[in-house]
Amino acid sequence: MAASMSQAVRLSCRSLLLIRSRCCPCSCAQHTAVSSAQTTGDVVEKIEIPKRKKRDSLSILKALSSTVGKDDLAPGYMFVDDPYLIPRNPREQKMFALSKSSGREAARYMISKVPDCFEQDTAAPHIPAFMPPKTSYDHTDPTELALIERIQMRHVKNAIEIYQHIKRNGSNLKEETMLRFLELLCVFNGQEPPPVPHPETVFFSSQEAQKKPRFKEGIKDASKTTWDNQLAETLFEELPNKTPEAYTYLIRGMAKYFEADKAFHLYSELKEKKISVGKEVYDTMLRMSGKYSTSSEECFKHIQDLFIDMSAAKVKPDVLTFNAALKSLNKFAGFLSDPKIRGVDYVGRYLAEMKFLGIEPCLATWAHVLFITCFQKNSDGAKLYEIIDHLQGQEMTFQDPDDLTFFSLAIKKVFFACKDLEIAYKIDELVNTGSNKKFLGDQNQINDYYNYFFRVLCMFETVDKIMEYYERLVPHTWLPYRNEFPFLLDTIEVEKAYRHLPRIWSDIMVNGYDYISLFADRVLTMMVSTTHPPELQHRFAMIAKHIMKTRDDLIEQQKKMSVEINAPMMGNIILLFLRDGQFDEAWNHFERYRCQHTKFAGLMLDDVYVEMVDNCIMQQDVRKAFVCVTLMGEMSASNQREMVEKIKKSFNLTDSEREELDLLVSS
Amino acid sequence: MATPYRRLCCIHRLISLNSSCNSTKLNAGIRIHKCQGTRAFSASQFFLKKSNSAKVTNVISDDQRAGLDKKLVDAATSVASSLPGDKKLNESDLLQKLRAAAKLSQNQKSGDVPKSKEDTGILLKSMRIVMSNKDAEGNWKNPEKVKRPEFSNFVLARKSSHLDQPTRKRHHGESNLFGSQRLGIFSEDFKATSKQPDTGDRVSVSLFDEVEKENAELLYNIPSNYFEEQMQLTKEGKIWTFPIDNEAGWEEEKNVKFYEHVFLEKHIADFPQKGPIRHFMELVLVGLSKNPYMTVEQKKEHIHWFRDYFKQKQSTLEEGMGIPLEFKQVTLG
Repeated sequence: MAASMSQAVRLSCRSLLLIRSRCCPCSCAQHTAVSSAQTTGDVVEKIEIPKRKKRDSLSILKALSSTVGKDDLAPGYMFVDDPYLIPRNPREQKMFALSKSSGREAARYMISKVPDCFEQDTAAPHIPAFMPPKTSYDHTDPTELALIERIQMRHVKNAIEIYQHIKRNGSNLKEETMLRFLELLCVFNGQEPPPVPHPETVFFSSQEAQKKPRFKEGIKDASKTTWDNQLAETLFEELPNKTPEAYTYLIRGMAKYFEADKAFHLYSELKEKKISVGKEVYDTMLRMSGKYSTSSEECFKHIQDLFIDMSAAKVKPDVLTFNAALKSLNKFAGFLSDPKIRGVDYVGRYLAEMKFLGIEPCLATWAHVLFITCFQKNSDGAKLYEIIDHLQGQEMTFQDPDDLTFFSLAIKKVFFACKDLEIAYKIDELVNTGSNKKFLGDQNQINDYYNYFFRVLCMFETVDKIMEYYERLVPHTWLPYRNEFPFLLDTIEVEKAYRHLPRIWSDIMVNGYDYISLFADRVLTMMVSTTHPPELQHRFAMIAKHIMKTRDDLIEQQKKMSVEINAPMMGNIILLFLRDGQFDEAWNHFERYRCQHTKFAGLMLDDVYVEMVDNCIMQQDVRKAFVCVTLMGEMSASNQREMVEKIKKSFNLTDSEREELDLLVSS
Repeated sequence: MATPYRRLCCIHRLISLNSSCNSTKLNAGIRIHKCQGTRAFSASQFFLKKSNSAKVTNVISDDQRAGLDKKLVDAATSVASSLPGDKKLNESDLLQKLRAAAKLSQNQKSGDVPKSKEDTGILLKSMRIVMSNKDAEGNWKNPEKVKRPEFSNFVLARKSSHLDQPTRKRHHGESNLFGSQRLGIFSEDFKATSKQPDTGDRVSVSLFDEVEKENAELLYNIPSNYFEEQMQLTKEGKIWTFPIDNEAGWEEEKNVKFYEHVFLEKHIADFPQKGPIRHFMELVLVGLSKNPYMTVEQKKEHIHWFRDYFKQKQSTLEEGMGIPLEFKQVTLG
């Protein structure tokens, strides 16, 4: 509690610092009106007093929240904690967030297990949200009131029990109650409603779902996802008067649990009986038509029919209606681009209809359009340009859960289809407009977005610009995964911008041992490819030292993980030490290699020996030079003879030493 | 959409065929990269050289086929016949493309700077679509395998991108998003702005909408700053609501005026008019009228309790005090 309080205080301080001066809309409008009247002089403009705005308990918080900017150097709000505990790589982030949520889960469990311990009510006025959830009922007899009580509390199992009791007793229920009960059954498919997930769990849910195999999930989660609701159907049959509501509930319930055939059957029954229903039913049917149809033509026909029905029933469509239709078409995206079917034309016609009706498409609409029109790999993504131009500078409002899929989809299309930097920047600008960042979606989608944005950057942008973005985004907004580092390293190699390597290495390191072993070889090779200024050379030597240290530590601690170092890598490490002027360190490693060269796979590059001998000469160390040349012989390095000649020239050797050298070369 | 792409692929295939005539494999690019100092050797040059050196052995007099290898022409013909659509047209398209490439490379060989980069652009685009996709996928599935791309396709793409830039300028004219013919199902009455009432029986906010809304907004509502978290808590009813109101949460007291709290005399109208009990009760009323923590109902109950108490003890009190205790019949309220 105390920790969360202090966190709250700290945060609010931060947010307050970020508050920009913001005048309230009404005073602003008046101000401009008055000033324009002054400037025009004679003509007195009418001052329009803006209408009073309706405000609720959230308005103030919303206004305050809109002033909070994004601090690139601070961790995401979910990960704010004691600096020592702030997660620094994706694995830690997940661990951090999920432990937070499981802590809450544990608290929830305790409260439900021993509610008596939490009965103290010190608050006046009473705050129901702080009390343990109510488990006892006011009405225990099987009466209508008891049923209503359970329906209100969303206790499905107990409601069913009471209903069956009432039925056995033979007493009648009011129609209204029966409808409410039917609704409850349809919403939750006749099962207990699942508990509300914590935000952290939601944020990582798609990642978790990806990892788990299907069958395992099925075992763990007993709740059914298919329509299995005999009770609801019998209840519907038993209804004396089948109202539009009853149809609505049953159709929506069936659609929610993917029972397309029955839903369509019910819908046709409803049409025969000429019962008029609300927009929700049409939306549901439109969403279902993709599942119900077996071909794209059929799907088009269903959508067309439903639109005509809507128009006949005088039901106004809205953006969700068209989203539902487009979502159905997603299933056939692969066929729609076939010119024979002219599916893309249909999408255009839906959009034109929306325009005519004055319905502004939302991000979900565009996501569906993008998915359908740019489905095939050869698509040049022309639609994307138009969509982004259309959206430029707009701040979105949340309307459809699919809104959150747009940005990651769009940037993927840029990478796979458009390959254009300009459009990638435009998308990023849109993401950073207002509070649009909230539309990036969950952890997986955010990662997708930045991964592909970065790939596009790596393809076309200069290294300095890339690094500018990199500095801004890493590590708090986004952390590159193992697939993104090669892109970055490629770019650096092409532009020879080795000065950025230390920064990138530190981010590789943060990701853990497997990343080190994955990229150590590549980075070492890049570091030795040319010579660098002394300062950089020194930092490279530090990296080399770190790699060796990590490897040794892992072996010492007998961990399962290991950083594999082969002979070429060892050679590169030695070279880095030599170039940094750390001859002793280099020699230690050289000795180590000499003694245990069987443990290192492969062979060192010949350059290593050459530079080693050169350095020995510089150090005037005959013995070490001899060891070097001997090892060259053992490893059958190509230029041993030259080195021997070099040593002969550089040192004043005794006859026996010369003989020894000759012997080495001749053998 | 589909046909040009397939055509490009065919051209790509033809070029690889072309280079294999020369018994050099496609991936020879890797070796070229290894030679120091030739890093900037771009993909286009590489491929163009290959196609260039393969040409001019068996020239056909036909002006379409001029300057192209016979094998190449044959291959183009066979590919064209396998494509859908006009066979002749396909063939001429392919040949034209190949001839242009050959001409360009001839020019470049002789040191001319190409005036238009469009052709190379298209060539490279076709290559890159195939190759970079493969690269990306390979990367995705098995990153270890591509641990050291010596001269990866990615780098090819990067290098050639500069060549390619001019062709990717797009027409940013009028948006054609809504330009299609509309469905024509809905009439003017259905416009979002029209006042025409909805005749469909709309079910007022039902449990369905409630649950759907809760689930839909879960992800969007993940707090990204402290105020948003406060908003969540406000919705859950766990913190004071803004604007701050001292009387928040006192639902039962909403319609009670202050004087009902303060002037309580009317509630003891039935008590004896004078004497110690009256005096005691007046003191109780003073205390109650100053107590902000009790509701009016509770205060009334409190008085009521004394009334009952004194009535019960009436005989004892009368005996002890020697005065008759009379409770008048007064209707309260």
